[in-house]
Amino acid sequence: MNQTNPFAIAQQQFDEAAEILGLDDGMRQFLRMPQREFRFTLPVKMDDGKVHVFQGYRVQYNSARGPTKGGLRWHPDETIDTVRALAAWMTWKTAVVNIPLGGGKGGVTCNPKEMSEGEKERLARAYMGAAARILGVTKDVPAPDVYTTPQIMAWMMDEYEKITLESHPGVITGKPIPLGGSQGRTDATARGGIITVRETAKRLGIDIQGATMAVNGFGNAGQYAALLGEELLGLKLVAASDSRGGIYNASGFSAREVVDYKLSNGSLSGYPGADAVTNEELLELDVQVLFPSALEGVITKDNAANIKARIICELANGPTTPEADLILQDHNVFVIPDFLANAGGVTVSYFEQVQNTYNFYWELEDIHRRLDAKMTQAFADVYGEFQSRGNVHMRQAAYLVSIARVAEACRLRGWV
Amino acid sequence: MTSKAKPSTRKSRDAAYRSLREKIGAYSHLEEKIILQLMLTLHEKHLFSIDEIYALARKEAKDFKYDQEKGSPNVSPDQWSGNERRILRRLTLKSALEHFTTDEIEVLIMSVVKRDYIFSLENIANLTDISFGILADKVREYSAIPLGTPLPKEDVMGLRVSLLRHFISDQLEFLRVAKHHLTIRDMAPLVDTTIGSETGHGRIGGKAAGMLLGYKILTETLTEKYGDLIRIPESYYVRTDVFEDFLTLNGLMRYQHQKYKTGEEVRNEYPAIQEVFRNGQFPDYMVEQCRAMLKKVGKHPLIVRSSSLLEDNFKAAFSGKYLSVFLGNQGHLDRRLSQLLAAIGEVYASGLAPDPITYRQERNLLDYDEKIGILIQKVVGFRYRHYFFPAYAGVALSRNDYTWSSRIREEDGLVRLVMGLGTRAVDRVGDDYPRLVGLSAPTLRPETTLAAQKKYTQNFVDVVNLKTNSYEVVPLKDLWGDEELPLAEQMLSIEEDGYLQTPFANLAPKSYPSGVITFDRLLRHSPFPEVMRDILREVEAAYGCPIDIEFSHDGQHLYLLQTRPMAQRMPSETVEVPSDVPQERILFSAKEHIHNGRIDNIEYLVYCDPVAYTQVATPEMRYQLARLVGRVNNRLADKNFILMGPGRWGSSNINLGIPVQYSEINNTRALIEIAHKEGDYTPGVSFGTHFFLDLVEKGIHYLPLYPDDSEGSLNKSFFADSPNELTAMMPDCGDFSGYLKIIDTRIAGPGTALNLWMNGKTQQALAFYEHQG
Repeated sequence: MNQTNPFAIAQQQFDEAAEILGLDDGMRQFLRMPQREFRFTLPVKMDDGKVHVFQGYRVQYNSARGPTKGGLRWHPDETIDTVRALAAWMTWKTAVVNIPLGGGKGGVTCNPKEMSEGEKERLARAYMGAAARILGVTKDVPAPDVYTTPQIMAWMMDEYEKITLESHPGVITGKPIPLGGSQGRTDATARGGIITVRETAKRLGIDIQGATMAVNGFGNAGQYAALLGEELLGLKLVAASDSRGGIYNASGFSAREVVDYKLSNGSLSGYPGADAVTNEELLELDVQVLFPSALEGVITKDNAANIKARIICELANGPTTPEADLILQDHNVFVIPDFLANAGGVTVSYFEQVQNTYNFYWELEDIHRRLDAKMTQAFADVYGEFQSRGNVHMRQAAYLVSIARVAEACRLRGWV
Repeated sequence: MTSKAKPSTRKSRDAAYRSLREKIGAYSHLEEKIILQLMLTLHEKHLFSIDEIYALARKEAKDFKYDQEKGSPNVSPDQWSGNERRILRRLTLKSALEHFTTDEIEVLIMSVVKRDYIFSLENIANLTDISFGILADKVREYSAIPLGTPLPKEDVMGLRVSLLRHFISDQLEFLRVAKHHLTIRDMAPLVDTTIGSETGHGRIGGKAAGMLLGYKILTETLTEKYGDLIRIPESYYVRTDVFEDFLTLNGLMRYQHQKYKTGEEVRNEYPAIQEVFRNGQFPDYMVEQCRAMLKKVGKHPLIVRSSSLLEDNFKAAFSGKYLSVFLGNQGHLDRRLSQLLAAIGEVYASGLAPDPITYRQERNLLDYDEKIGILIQKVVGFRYRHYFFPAYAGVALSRNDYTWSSRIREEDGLVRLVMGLGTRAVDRVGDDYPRLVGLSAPTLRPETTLAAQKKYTQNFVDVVNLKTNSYEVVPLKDLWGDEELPLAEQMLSIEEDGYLQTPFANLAPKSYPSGVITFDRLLRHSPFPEVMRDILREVEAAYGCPIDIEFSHDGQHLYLLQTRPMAQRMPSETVEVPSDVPQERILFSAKEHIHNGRIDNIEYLVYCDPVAYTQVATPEMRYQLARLVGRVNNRLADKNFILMGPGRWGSSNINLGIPVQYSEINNTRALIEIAHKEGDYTPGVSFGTHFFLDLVEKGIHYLPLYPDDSEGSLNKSFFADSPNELTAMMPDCGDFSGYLKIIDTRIAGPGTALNLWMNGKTQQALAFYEHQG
């Protein structure tokens, strides 16, 4: 396939940053490849009595800064290259928010849509049975990802504890709360993003109170962005869209009412007192803050020049294509890059691990306070890099901060 | 009859004999036949042969004659034979008493009585103009006869058919099935709940017919397994002749010819007709019968449904073409009565609505003298706050067209399941979703993420509002109160901390508002899927063709509301994919995962070249292409077009397919996924699962193409060589003409009228030009 091997893209992004940082050759060669890769063959008895053999993967990309951490994906088209790319990405993400963890990712090639609950449980336990020796709160900690759920995490934790004959809730995060899950996870991604918007506004000298926002993609992250944007920053929601199209009203909506409408109607269409807009039109609205919250590749070189927002906060992964990045920079649009903007999720995952290890659980306010501190500092670090270099955009700055941190840890350990 | 009864003393034997004589005396006109029946039975069981019994009788008669001759020589031969008969009777009765119990003898007597009734009923029933009253009385009399041993089928079949014709329906296909199941006795409760004049004659129509037949089939086959789980609602049937009386009484006969007017006239005149019918007068007898019915039913919500003679015909199902009206049925009797009558008028008027008339036109049914019967039923359900509705309801089809996974088999059937009234499952509403259950694997669903499961769910519930006395659509969030809802834990999953949890115990009302309708517990831990599979299998077997049913559940029992053949599957409505189309007129063909469908006169093909997409386009371009497809989709909104592209439409992974959203493809008539082989590898297709329910609800066809398989084909040169309208149609679309093609099928191609025909049964799909250009 042409240019779209996801790991090749990840390596290319790394290479660009390494060049700017001036990393030496040994470090470059080390960091552009995963440290450890595992592959499992998982026989599972299906409901019809037959055995189906699944392929599972776990990539521990880099553990210089601490135990590796990253989601576990169940997808029919899962390949080792996707898992590698995402494991690299997790490494930079934990480093950018400066939590003492490395990056990893795992996956199973399977189609959960075609599996019964019993089959899913047996697959989850089979995976843990095979991977238990390489996982653990001091080694590598998985979390939910594409098509894996808190229930699946619960089965896997249980299996791990059966194998070790000890209590180890921290072996996996994203568990249901009764089994050691953390408070504050549901809105963590959006909350982290809102904090970075607040910090951006401070730096740019924008009075954010009463400023307008538009939300592209109204799933979990988009809904909380609207609610928290209004609650924490006093932003005014003027437009929102989902897969069926969007709504717009220049004088603003109540975020709560729009979210309630979406929840009870399944879509935004038909929201009273609103003009209909397409997803494309929404992206080009004259607003101060734009939250691309659902899809990859919505901002391309075709529409980047028409974006009027002052700040783009990328809650979705990869909403902006590389060509569009350059155009946005030329047009003075400030982009808070995805792996900084949406790092609130992994940060609260880390909090879950910490609480599990303490065996002491924090109140919701504690979570919010600590998340705020982490995100504020992370933003400050990236923005500092962006300012001091002058010739890079925010995405590159974020890469530079995180790669430098990982490289430093490797160097201190005497690895390279 | 194995046990023998032997009265111990002579005295008791005499008493038994006398009582038997009396019993037979009650049917004096049948005495000869009863004796003959007893004699035959004794003979058949080798207890007393007919020869023996006659010989004995003759001997006794001879002795008697001899005695008589001595006294009176002039006794006539008749008298002799009379004597012989009396002796024969006595011998037969005594022998019967000796060998059979009194119960056994009773059964034998009753079989003679029944056969006699049948004979006289048949004579009456064969009169075409016999009044309902006379026939109904006869049926009641017959039903009063104790059940006894069933008569041989050949004795009753003719009569069953005559009665079914009189009371229920004269559709031959219906009679073919019904005569094996609906007995003469089954007519008795029916005649007692029929509304119509005693002197008239009419039928109760198709919908009622289907329900009764389906129910009878299920009581025959599933009672042993499920007890009385399956029921039908308390029902009343307004005969078709009441419709005629209504028209005559109000001088509305002229509207019988409405159907021959032009479409525009039909449309324009319909509102006025509705008004006239709603306010029409009903015959006195009917008003009184309805009043009596309402008294009996009490203040329980009712549904007034059409049950016309054409409806539920085996060849064309008028699904949803005629009106059904829900009534709260609350308040004073006079008010309830006037609302009921107005509703009946409204249902009558719906026979003259533009929709059903067009439908009849299309199927050559216009000349049939359509008469509308009415089915009045107690709505199945319970009261919750001021609402009334069933726990869940829906439609079940014995064939599943949506086999999106190889684990879902077509023959296991499909259920469209909703909470509340089933109207939401019957009518597709577009942006609200029933739970689609493939009965092969009831828990499988294409939506796996929390977001998808919350999106593709039911957000509105159809109910009867007891305050406003009418049908209402209530947003789920407004439904909840402090009361407990029966079966809530079977229907709801609770959203907790970012995931959906299937309840493991009963739910408290305070948790209802965080519920999402999934039916997870019902489908995982209850016998519901098995019950539905059994029902569909048995009814299909009895009908001899695919069927569908409507059902609802009140928390205790499953009610069958309707049964009918699956019209779209009937030969007349399934498209026969032609096998003689010359190669040059074929654009593509497929042989796997085909659903039924037919799209004629396709105007445009929107084609994304699989090779260009996977091998040339940059990631950036792939996203741009998705947006461009969305713009084309809007541009062609009112055109008849189909969309063809590589791999998985709607995948978020741009390597696997074009990352469109549903709103970017929602105007296409069909979504076609091309699994173009790359080297040794054929990428997967999605079977439309990225927006599965949207496609189902909008009726967008889905088709996977495997052009590199020996079974599939794709006319690559047609797609490569046809002129591309993209730039002309959308001048500002940039340089995408190498990737996306809009082909005007009327300009390009070797013929006129491009069709795509798909047959799920034969697993054939063909896109072909109908005529040579």
